[in-house]
Amino acid sequence: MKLLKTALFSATIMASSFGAYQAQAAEMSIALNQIIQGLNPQDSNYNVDYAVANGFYERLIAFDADMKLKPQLATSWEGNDDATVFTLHLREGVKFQDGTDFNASAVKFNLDRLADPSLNLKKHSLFKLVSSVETPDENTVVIKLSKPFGAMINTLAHPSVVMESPAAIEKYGKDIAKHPVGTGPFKFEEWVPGEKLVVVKNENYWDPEWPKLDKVTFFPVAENGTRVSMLMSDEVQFVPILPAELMKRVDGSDDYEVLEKPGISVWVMAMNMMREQFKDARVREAFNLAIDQKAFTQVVYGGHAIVPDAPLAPATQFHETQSPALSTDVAKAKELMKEAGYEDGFEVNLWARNDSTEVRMLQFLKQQLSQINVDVKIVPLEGATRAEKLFGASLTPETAEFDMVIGGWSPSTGDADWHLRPVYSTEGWIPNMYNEAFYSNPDVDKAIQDALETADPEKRAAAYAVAQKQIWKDKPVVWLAVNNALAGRKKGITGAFPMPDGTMQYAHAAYEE
Amino acid sequence: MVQYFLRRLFALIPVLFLISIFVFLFVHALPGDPARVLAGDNATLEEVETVRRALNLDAPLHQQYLDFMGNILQGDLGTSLRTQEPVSTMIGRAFMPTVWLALCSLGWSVLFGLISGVISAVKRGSVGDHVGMFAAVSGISMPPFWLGLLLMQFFSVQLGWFGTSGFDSPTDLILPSITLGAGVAAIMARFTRSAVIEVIREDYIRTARAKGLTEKIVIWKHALRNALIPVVTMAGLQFGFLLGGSIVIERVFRWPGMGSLLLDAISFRDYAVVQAEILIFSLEFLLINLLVDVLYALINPKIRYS
Repeated sequence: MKLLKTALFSATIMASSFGAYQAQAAEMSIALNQIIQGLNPQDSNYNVDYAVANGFYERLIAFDADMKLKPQLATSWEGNDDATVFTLHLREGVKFQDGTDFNASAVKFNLDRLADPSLNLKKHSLFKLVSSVETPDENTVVIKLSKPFGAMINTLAHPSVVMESPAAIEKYGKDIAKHPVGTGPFKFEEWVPGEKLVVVKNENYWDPEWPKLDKVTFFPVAENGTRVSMLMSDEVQFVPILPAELMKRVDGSDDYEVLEKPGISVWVMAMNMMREQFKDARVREAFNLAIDQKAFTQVVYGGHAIVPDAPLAPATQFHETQSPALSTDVAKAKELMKEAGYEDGFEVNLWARNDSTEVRMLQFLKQQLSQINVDVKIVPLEGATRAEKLFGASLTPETAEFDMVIGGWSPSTGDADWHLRPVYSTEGWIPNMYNEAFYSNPDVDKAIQDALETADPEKRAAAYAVAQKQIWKDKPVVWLAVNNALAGRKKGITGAFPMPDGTMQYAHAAYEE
Repeated sequence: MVQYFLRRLFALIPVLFLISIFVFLFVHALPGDPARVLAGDNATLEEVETVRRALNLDAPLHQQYLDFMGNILQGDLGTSLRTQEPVSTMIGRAFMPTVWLALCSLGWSVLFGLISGVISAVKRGSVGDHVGMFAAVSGISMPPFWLGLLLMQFFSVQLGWFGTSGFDSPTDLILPSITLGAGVAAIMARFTRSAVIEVIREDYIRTARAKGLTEKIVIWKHALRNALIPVVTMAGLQFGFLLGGSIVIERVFRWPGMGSLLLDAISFRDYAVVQAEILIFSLEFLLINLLVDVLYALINPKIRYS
């Protein structure tokens, strides 16, 4: 008993002294929802990797809190009319954390690496079209493309396109993913995979005003409840991804607050248009009418989501609100099903991941579609199994086993191209990209292509308006929701917040004075 | 005895060899493509194929097995597909936290289970017995993740006595071992109770009492010792499971152990890590079995091995 008392006592002392130390040294801890895969965003497709890299790496062009482009290592940029040559003017007086100069040749070094297929970097696909990178002077970079690509500026803002120190890459080779050296306000200190990542203040950061913190520690915490407990006991001060069902625990407290931002992830139920039933536009419309999206946002996200008003989320560049808006009309849906010859409905399967959020979606959709006599067989799938069955390299439109599938897409470039092309173009058919409906409309394909042939925002907007209108009319999917990004944070902290694309920012985090 | 022990030890080698084949086939028969998972959620087909080439996953299966066995025979557990780290490094990091957690959980739960089991058996039918057994059934039926979150909410968030999770100091062992041991304690209590009840009906207990021994000695020396064989078997079995690392508890308490490692490895189809972990679990079970057999001989001198 005495031993236990002593143990408890020392634990209490430790806990309180830890807290005090933290306040003095301006430190912050962050609980992530996933394990970090690697510290080289150029070689990653994971949001969690991009999120932590936002402190030690910087991009040429970045996004502000609302996914609008903002200068970072490039101060200004322009493209030619046919979207084949892009010129960037670089920030002067920037150094990498190892003392290497950041200049045009460092940018060329990074972009050349991304464009080199033999290096097998995962984000090489973003730079396939780059034919040359030129450096007319110290602070200017000219990127030439082999064919027009109007979304190039937003592609440069993709969270994977970070500038890494050429000297460090020479030194570490592939192991740069374990020893990142960038230009950001924090520099890498320690990474224990699966346990924690520590970054510390970069004393030589180019903006003397930042950073305000001395140290930031990240813990991967897969269990939602544990993340919230860590926040509520001040072990972490920021939880960038908070599930809607747990936000009440944070919201009711005096010391912690919930941050909510509109997201750019559009959730849909794709209908496999290789199936006879879904070739019929009336059936697809009936499905859209039978499902009550407003109720969906309540059931699945506790109201922390909006009903989509276009194929793109409102915060995505070139989004245009469509009419008519989505509505629910079961009687009309039944009528359409009758016209199409399916008065008695039919049987379909519906695939999704087996996590609690998507299982709730499955149950809700099954119930809604039963109103028009459609018997839905729900198929929750484990992540890796789903990935293979849905995107396996051998999959063809004829052999795909699913009738309907739930998916959410968020364009990491914040631009219409990286949403419409993978999800709605013929080129995007799975397994190539993410068009799970096998939807194909030549007018849509053409509009998406037209938008890429120019760097002129007005012309691009016009082309995407055509594409969105046609997709909205064809309804290859049932649009379900655009969920908000929810995060929990200790009160009195500024500058750490969730991003609409599922990543986060902490470079300008500070404790209020 | 020593000879017997060594013979049993050598007999493990063919068993482990068979297990390695099963493990390899089982892991590769799982649906799911590691290249796809590692490439990430928003990867294009092109990116997936890039990953496949980079990781050499396009080699034929028999080639992959030969590589795997060749490496194992040289004491090399391979390289993680996901982190590109040697698997032995990853397991080296995860092994001790799980052993500590298993020892602490087993320690308190066996002690608690034995004592409360014996008391329940002796005071059979009393209020104490009913309360004890009610607690035991609750312990078995309570979902561990729920108990864990509950303890965390109370002791860490409200009282602030312990850290919520992670393994940075010895006190971090307390909440996870309570959670993990609760089920084991309950099983041990029930097992001990029924074993002791059976034994106290035996003639030699009556003889012991007739000899005029105190009830304390009769129960704790004569009865318990004879009741221990099934209890030790059960404790060994439980220890094997505990050493495997509890996936659920380790996830809730962010424990950097074998369970967390296995969960991550399975979800990323990190074949090398899954294979190595299952091989190690099998080896642990085989060794514990051997240890239990040796314990039998120590508890009951009538048992002799040759």
